[in-house]
Amino acid sequence: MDRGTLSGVMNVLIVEDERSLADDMKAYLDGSGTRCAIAGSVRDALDRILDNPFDCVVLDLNLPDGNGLDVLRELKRMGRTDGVVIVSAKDALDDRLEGLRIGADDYIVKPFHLAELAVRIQATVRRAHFAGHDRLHFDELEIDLPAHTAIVHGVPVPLTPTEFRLLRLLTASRDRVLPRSVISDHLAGDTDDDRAQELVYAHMKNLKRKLSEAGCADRIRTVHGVGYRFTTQA
Amino acid sequence: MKLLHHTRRPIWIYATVVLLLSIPAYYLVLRTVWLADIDEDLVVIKHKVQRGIHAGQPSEEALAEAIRWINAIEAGVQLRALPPDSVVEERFHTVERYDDLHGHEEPFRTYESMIVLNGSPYAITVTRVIEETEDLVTAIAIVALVSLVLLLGGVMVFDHVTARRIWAPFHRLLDALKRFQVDGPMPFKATPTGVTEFDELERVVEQLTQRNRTIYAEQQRFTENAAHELRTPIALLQGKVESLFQTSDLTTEQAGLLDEANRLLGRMRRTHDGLLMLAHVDNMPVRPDVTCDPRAIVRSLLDHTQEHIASLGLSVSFEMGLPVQWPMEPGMAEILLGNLVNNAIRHSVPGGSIRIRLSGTLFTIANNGTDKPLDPESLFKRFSGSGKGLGLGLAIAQRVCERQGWSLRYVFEGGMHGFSVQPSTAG
Repeated sequence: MDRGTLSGVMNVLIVEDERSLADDMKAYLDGSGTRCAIAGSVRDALDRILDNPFDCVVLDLNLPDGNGLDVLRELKRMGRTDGVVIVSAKDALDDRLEGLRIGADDYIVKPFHLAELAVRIQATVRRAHFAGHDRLHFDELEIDLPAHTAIVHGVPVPLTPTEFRLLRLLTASRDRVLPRSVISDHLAGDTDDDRAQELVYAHMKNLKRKLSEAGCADRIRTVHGVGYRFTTQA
Repeated sequence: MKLLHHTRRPIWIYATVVLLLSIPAYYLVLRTVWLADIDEDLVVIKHKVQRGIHAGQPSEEALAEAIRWINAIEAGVQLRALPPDSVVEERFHTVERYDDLHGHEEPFRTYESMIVLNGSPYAITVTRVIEETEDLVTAIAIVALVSLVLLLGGVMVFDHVTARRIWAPFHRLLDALKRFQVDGPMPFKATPTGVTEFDELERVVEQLTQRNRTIYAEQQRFTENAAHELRTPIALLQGKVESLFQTSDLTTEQAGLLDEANRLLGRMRRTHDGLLMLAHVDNMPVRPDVTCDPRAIVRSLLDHTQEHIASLGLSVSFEMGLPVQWPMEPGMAEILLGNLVNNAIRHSVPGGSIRIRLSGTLFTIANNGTDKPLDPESLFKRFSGSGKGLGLGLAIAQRVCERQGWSLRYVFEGGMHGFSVQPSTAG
């Protein structure tokens, strides 16, 4: 239902040799219509992509038996359209450019917030599958991603760009707790500015007010002492 | 002053002094010798006159007649009878006198003495024009002087040419060292010069630069490895903390602790990234042949931070002036300008303003913050921030400028804290 017009489950392949991190990623992304598989090596990843297509491949570059870019090259060689988000502990610009040149959709540098990964995956998959007609549906609430608008009971709700980004982050991590620090990093970039966290509070208050005034159910819940959670079941 | 000038100057001074002293000395010596010669001649003439008259053994009348004749023909000898027992001191002197023959004043050398003819004393004056001799002495002195000047000048020219040839390897080495970059593609290579000292110098410089390159490369490798090895555990730790947030039975106290842990992780990550950025800046080759457009970079930076700026209620003005190119690698310029823009945002007061200006190649950015000027000494030091940030941003910006040979200055003016970047024309 919440996956809009995309039928079935979103399949994500996590190619990551640090098993512990892969498990955390899987635990975070799994559920709410997403199903993750894990591959710990280039060979393992190639086996899995041969078996079936994925909506998105989360690709670590430093793998024990080779470079993750080889998996990307193989995907492109096969003419596959699986979305690819590169994850690397190296932030060398060359790697990033090479990945994007070969055809990766996005690039994220370790360490990253799981919520940030979720929103990148969502953007990648949605861009690939719904050129221009991409809406998330949560009963009375619709989110038009390309148009950057929220619609409640069929009526557009005017949101500022920051409020829309907030909403998109929340829905990408729906039913998950989003700590304030994670939200502020997403909005203001990875900043050490303490004011950014206070601003999260202000923006969130405005977003909640606008949605509730438009008649939207109370979906954005405050998690005391931590942050916020977007619930799909109002 | 050049080394060559140090060695040449005393030689020049000595040569000039000797030359200046030698001119009058030469003239005086020559003139003295000549005059002595002339004086000898005059004495010889006196003796000839005396001997000639003696040989004739003339009568008193004949003698008087002869003296009258000698005086009359004015051949340079004059005789005059003296009272008996007179004594005349011998003396030589030079006088200026009108000369009938040449029709103008001429110097004459005169010899006054006494001779005894037929038992009576006579004063004798022998005179000779010395103009020709004076001219000769002058001519000789001039020739000598010209030779001396030629000799000295020649020595100087040869010295200069030789010195240039000898010093050529030194200048070549100096140029090579100026061009040398520890991270450059070309290591320094010693070139044989044929001069033992320079060959040794080149060899030592080659070893030294080679060692520097090795150390530098090792350091870079270490930084990269350390960066990678640190990132992975931080990523794992962050995954754990964020997974913990998702557990259902989290108490408020636990959540608070987790939030704190998450913030600390963020700080660790940013410190790590900042240090890595510093290492990167050191690693990036300075390429004066590459240019970038600072206006475009600032515009894109402002685009990216637009929402953050708006949410802080800051007003930003950007006077971009005329199109300009910086002789800087675009990646470096992004790091430099990005850190300055972020710094201005971080330290501006709520509702404050940020003024960015590009006039010519000069970039300035100013924000209103605290009322007092900051200490420009500690401002650019690592980890010396005001507590609002990590204190790495300005250190990075300054490092970029240092690498480029540009200047980054802090100015406090009209309550605004500003930084200016002045690209040097040399790149």
